[in-house]
Amino acid sequence: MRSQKQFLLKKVIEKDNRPVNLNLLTINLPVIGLSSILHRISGLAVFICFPLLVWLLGISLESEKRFSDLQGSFQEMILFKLVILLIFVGFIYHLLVGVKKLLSEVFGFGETLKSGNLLTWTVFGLTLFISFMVFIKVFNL
Amino acid sequence: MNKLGSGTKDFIVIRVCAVLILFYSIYLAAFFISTNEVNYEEWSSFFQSPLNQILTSVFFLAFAIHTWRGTWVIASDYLTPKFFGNFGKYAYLTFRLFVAAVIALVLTWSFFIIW
Repeated sequence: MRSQKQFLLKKVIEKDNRPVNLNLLTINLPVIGLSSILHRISGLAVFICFPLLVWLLGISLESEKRFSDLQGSFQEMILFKLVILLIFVGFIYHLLVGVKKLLSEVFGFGETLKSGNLLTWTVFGLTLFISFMVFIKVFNL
Repeated sequence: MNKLGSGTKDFIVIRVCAVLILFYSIYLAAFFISTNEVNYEEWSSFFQSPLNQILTSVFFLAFAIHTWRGTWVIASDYLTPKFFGNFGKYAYLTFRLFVAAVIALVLTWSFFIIW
């Protein structure tokens, strides 16, 4: 029985010539799909940038002088601020989409097209809002 | 463990680690918001308290597991023979090695910083 089942499965796989289209550029991506692919991109980006953050944490905890040096260059260099801000935006976005995904898995929130769109736009809005607040704080506006 | 079982385990592990990272992030944000001026005193005493040393280590461990599984999800979707032909296998292996190196670096480095 089992081997027959495996035989049939093999047959199906061998015969399977359905087109596979995972080229995202050829798909008209809905906003929920866009949020999902951005979730992957932001996750990967934050992961790659993470050693930089560990390096900075190490410097900041080394000594009082190193801490104030770091603080000084952060205040002086706009590029430094922008890089940290960009990593923060990626992280907060990844976090919020993660919360959204957990909410839909655990409580079934956002499983219809309408509520899913609403929840996705809420995540985009919250990301922008939090990023804006941190932007104001970081640039002392 | 069969394939179905390990997939379910991955599914749960990646989410448990995600929640740990979320909680630590809220905790850290609360520190920043409740501290008016984050100076060296405040900053170093935060990371010297035993509780925060443990929590930070848990965070880095959760980060390692979450990203190890998360990058696997991406790599197994895109770094495949379907996209890269014969090179797919090597692209996948190279990427996994790179990820392993980054995680090993972050884990050992953060360990020496925190403890």
